[in-house]
Amino acid sequence: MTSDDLDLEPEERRLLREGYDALGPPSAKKDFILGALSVRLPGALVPLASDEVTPLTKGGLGRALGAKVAGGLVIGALGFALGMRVSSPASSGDSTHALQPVPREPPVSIPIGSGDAPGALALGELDAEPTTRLDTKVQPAKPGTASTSTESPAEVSFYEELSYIRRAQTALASGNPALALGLMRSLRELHGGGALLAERGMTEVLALCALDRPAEARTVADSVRARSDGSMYVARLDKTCARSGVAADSSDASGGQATSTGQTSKRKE
Amino acid sequence: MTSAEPPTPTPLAFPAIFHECFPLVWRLLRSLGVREPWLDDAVQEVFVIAHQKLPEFDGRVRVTTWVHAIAYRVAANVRRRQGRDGRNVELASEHAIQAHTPEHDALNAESARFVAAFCDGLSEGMRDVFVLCFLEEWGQKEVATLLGLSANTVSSRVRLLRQAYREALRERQGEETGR
Repeated sequence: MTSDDLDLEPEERRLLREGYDALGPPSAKKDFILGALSVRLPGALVPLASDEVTPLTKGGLGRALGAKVAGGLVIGALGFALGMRVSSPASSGDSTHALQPVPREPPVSIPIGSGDAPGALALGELDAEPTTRLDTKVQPAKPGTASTSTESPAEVSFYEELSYIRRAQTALASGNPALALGLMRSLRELHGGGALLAERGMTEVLALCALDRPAEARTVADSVRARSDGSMYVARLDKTCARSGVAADSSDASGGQATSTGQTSKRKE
Repeated sequence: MTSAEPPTPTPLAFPAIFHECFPLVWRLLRSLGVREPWLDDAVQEVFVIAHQKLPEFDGRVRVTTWVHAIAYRVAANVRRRQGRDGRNVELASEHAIQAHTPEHDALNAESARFVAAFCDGLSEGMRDVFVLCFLEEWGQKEVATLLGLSANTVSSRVRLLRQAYREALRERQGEETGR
């Protein structure tokens, strides 16, 4: 069944269509949501290699999608970072409105088909013939199977990389290390390489220190020190919780979720 | 000899789902009554859930249908939260359309306002049917399944909605000619 069954005049239908289309999101919203999701679902929006992307429609959104997603992520994360500072009233009041970076596990779980919504049915019961269908059957990719940072073929432009770093540093300066860390990790997932790896590492170290995660900070700091362009950061690193010569606490190092320890109390920052 | 090999399943990428479905999800949530302050978060919720549930998606329905079903349930939950929260102070349509007007020409904005106002004036049950059947152009059978209604109920709501929509249109035309 289609809208033909609705028995509307063409003019009535046109008005509906026009009005409904105009209710669509403004273009900036897409980037904002994309940025927010890139923080909430790290890695999930990293584009697959172009030959792995399945067009969802006959018109095909196809192969150019990878580049589009990558570009959108960069802009989106920036837009998201900006937007977080002026969050909507709903965002600040409800625990389910998680605008904090949430590693891997989504903070909300709507029971699909559990009867939560009125008249809810399992999605699997939606076996009615759709009005139009994909030409090919598809099977889902595992969310975690998107390309990793080392496999990512996309190259980040210097400007994009710098923009991420600046946004992260602004987040740090304004007391939001979680966002700074999310931005840096999103950038790493999106683009493992780049021209500013040492600065990215430095920013990540500062964020981890601010989050009281010294073991992880030290790991990142070690990689910064090991880089040929990292020598200029040694002095700065030594002013953080990841300064050299501080032995990692075993529980801290293994869990990476350490809370305040004797080491962190020695922080000079 | 005919080669009847089953088509090789192709991986379905979450980024592709996002790009395909984002505008649809946005419109659907707005039309279903998710107010502007809740909209960003509701859209995010839809895609977080879609990402979480993607391994279970079996491809028996269109992916857009699948995402829409998730969006419908998110909208139902958000509407309940909105009702409890007491911040339900303004019509999403008015606020959002005014905010977005620079991106649309005046005529489209006017149409959008009309459609959104019509939706806002409906009860939840009627609104769901209107949005899914008239705006999203789902089949009545699919809508009945999703909403847990009988086909007859959906059919009779469609009839009433068509009538109400035409009356609203006549009123609108009367206002325009009266100006």
